[in-house]
Amino acid sequence: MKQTFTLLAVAISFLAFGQTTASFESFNLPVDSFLNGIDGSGGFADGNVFLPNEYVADPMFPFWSGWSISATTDVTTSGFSNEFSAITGQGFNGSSTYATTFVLDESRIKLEGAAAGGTVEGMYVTNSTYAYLAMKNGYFIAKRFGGPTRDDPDYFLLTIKASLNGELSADSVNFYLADYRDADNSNDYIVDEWSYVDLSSLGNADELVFLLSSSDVGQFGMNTPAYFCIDEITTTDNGVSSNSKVNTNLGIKIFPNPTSDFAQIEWNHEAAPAQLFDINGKSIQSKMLIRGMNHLSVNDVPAGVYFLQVNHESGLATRKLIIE
Amino acid sequence: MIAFSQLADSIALPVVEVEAPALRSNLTGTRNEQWDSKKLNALSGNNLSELLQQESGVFIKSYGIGSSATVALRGGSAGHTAVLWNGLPLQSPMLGLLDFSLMPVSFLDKVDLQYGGNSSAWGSGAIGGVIALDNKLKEKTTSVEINSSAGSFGLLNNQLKAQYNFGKWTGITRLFQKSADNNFPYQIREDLPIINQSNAQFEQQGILQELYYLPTASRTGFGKGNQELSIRFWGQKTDRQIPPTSAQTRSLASQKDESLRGSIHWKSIQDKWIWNAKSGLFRESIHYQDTEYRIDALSYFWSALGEANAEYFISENQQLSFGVSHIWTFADIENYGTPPQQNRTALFGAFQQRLKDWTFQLNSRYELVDEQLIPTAPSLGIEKKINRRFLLRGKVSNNYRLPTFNDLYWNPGGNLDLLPESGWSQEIGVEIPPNPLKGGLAPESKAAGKVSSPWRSGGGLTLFNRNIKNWIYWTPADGKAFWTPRNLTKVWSRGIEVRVNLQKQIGELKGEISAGYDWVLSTNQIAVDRPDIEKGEQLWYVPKHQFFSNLNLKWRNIEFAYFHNYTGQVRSPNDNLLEDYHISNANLSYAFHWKQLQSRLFFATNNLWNTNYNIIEYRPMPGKNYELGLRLKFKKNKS
Repeated sequence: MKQTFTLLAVAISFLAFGQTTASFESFNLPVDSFLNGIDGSGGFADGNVFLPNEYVADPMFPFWSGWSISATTDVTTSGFSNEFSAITGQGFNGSSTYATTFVLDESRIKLEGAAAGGTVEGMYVTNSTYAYLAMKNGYFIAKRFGGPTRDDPDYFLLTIKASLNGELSADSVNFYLADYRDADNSNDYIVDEWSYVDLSSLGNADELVFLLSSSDVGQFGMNTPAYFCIDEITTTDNGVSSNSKVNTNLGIKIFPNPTSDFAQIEWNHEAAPAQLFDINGKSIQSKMLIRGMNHLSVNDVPAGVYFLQVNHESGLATRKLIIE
Repeated sequence: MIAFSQLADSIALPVVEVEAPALRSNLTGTRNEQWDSKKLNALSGNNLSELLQQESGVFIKSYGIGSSATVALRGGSAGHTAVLWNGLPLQSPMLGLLDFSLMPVSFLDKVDLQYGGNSSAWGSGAIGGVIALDNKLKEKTTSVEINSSAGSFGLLNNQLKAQYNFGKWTGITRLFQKSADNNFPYQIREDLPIINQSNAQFEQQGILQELYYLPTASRTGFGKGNQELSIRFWGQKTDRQIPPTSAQTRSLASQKDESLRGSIHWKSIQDKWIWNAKSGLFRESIHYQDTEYRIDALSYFWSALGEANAEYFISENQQLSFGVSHIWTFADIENYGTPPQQNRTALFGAFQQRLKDWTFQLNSRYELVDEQLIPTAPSLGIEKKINRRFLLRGKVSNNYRLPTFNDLYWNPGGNLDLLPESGWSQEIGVEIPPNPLKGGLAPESKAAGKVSSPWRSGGGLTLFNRNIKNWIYWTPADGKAFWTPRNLTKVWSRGIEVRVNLQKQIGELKGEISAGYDWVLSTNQIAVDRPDIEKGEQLWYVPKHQFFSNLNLKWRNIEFAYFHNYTGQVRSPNDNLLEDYHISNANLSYAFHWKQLQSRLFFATNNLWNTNYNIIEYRPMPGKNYELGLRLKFKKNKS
C-alpha cells in the first residue's frame, strides 16, 4: 500500500501523529479507464481508507453505487454515459486517478489500520462532469442552476459527517459544490477545480459519511445528479504503531466547545492521563482525568484548535477543543 | 346530448344522424360533445389538441407548439382517456396514451368527446373520458378541397381532400403537410433578454386513404337494408426537434414518430339488427435521439385488433347490444428484455329500456388479459325528460386502466405484479338544449332573410365524483439505482362542469356565445414518500379552475370568432406553482363562391394579448402569432 506524505497536509495537521494519504494512483489505471466494482470486490482500498462499492450484476441494467476509481478525462460529454469523469479531467495536482461516488442515499468511507478511530485531516473535492454540466446546462428534469431567470438561489451541497462505532457526529462539514445563493449573480459558481476540504473538526471517526442535497428537488427527490469526486484523503495515524489497539469509544465529552476560559471533561473510566496538544503537536497542558467531571482551565491558552488526547489502557482517544 | 357548437349553419350545425347513436357507445346518462365535419373543416389546419382546447375547454397538457400534447379529462392522468379511431383503440400499449399533437383535424369527419368513465364499453383507459374519432362518408359526391395557410415562425400548412366515385365505390384521399421553424421569441421576465426558441422545428406528413363500398345504398342515404364496407389506410410521419426547456442551455434532441394504420369495417343494417365487424392492424414507432447525451432509442409496437358486435331492436322501447373484441399487441424497445406480447379478449353487452320519459341503460364488460381476468366493469345510465326543456341524467360506472407495457416490462424496474388502476365514478347532471329546438337559426330561417330571432339559450350542469385505487406511480426501488412502478395511492376526483350557450339574430347579424367553467379537485388520498405527496394534495398539472368562452359573429360573408381561455394555477412535480393565465385567439374570415367553387380566406391571430404563460414548467409558449390562409372547395353537381 503506497503511502504519501504531502507537505501541505503536514503543515496544517496535527504533528503528534503520522499521516497517510490515499491518492488512488496505486491502482495504476490507464487513461480513460475506471473501476466500477464489476469484479465484485465490494470496494477499493488505498492508504488507510476503504471505499465501499456495491455492484448489482442485473443482466439488463447492471448498476453500481458507492465508489468507483476513475482515470477518465471527458469534461464535455453531458449525461449519465459520462458518469465517472471529474470536471477537472484529472486527479488533484495533475495526477491521473481519483475516486467518483454515486450517492444512493449516502456514501461512506471506512478508515482502516492506523487511521481507524483517528481524525481525518481533509481531502480534495470537485464536481463530476455529469453533475457539473447538468447544473450548468440543465439535464432532463435537472434544472440549469439559477433557473430561467438566473436568479434562483440554487445550491448543491456536500455534507460530511464522522461516524464512530455506528454513532454519527453531531458536527458536520458543509461544502458547496455549487452556490447560486448570492443575490449578486456574478458570485454564483459551480466548483470546477479540486478544492481542499478540512475535515479535522469532525474529530475521531472510523467512517466518513457523505450526503448530497440540492435546491433542485422535486417530488421524486433530488433532480441534480448525485455524484462528486474526491482525491488525496489524508488520515492521521494516531501516533502509535499500527498494532496498538485503538479504542476511541471512551465516552469523553468536552463542553462548552468552543470555549474561552474553561472546559468540563466528562470521563467515565478509571483515572487516566490526558494531554492537550496544539495544532503543531506541541504539548500545552497535562492533566489526570478522574471518573466524573474534570475541570480544565484554558484561561492562559491562546485561541486556536487543540486536541485533547487521553491515554487509556484500551487505547488512545482524541477530541478536538477549540479555544476562542 | 348537445353539441355546444356553432353558429347556425355558417360554421356547423349538429349533424342529424341517420341512425340513432349506437348503444355500443354507451352515452345514456353522460355528458358528451360532438364536432361534425363542418366544424372540423373550419379548423382543418389544427391538430386534435388545439381543437379540444378551443372548443371544449378541456385541459391540454401541451409541451409547446408541435411538441407532445395529452389531455387530462376530469382530473385524470394522460392515460385516463381512451381514444378510438372508428371504434378501434389508438393508445400506445407502451405508454398507455396518445399524443394528440399528431392527430390532424383534417383527417377526421367527426369527433365525439364523452366525459366520464366508460370502461364498460371501451375497456382500459376509459376513466376520465373517451374521445371517439370517426371517418364517415356523408354523401356520394365528387369534390376536391385544398386548404393552405402560412403563419408566424415559418408555419406552412397544407391539406388536400379529394372524393371520387366509381359505381358503388367511393374513394376519399386526404393528404396533409405541416411544418414550422417554431423559433418564436420569448422573455422570462421583462428585465431579461429576449430568447429565440431553438431546436424546435417540426415537419408532419400524412395520408389517409378511404374506400367505401355501398352495394345497396340508395341515393337518399344509408339506411335499413344497406351494407357498407369501408377500408382505410392511414400513414403518417412526424420529424420534430425537441426544444430545450428554459432551465436548459440547449437541446440536441429529436424525435421521429411514424404510424401505419389499416382497417376494414363492415356494417349491415337489417330490419331489427345492426351488424358491425371491424379489424385493424397498427404499427407505430418512436425514434428518440439525443447526440449530446448519446441516446438513440427506437421503440415500436404492432397491434392487431378485431371486433364484432350486434345491436338488436327488441321492441320500440328495448334495445340490446353485444359483442366480442380481441387485441394482440407486440412491442419492442431495447429496455424490454424479451419483447412482450399481450392478448386481450373482451365480451361486452348493453341493454336499454325506455319507460315513458325514462331511459335506462345497463352495460357490462368482461376482459381477459393474457390469463388474467379483469374484474367485471358495469355501468348504469339513467335519463329522464322533465319537460321539453330539461333532461336529467346520471350514471354510475366501474372503470379501469391496465398497467402499460412500460409499467410491466421496462428494464430495470418493470413490475409484473401491478394491478390495474380501478374504481367507481358517479355523475349527475341537467341538460337544457337551446330553445326553441326548431326554427330560429336553423337553415330554414335563412329564407326568412332579415328577421330577428329572440334570444335562444341552453346549457348544462354536471357534478361528478370518482375514486380510483391502485393509482400507479414510479418510485425509487428500495436500495436500487433505478425506479419501479407501484400501486401506491388512491385518487379522489370530483368537480362541477357548467356550460351556457346563447344565440341571437339581429337582421343579417347572427351571434352565438358559448361558455364553460370547470371546477375540478383531484387529490391523492394516501400520502407517499417518493414521489413526495401529501394526503389531500391536488395532482400535478390539474387546474382547479378552468373557464373558456367562444364568441361567433356572422354578417353576410364575413365571420368573426373569438376564443378566450382561463386556466387556473397548477402545481408542477417540482412543487412549484405555475401562475394562472388568460389566452385568446381571434379569427376573421371572408367566404366567396363562384359557380362550383367555394372559397374562404381567413386571418387568425393566436395569443392575441401576447400572454407570457407556461402550461408545463420551464416550457415557454409563443406570444402573439398570425396565420393567413385560403380554403378552396370544388364540388361537382350531383349527376
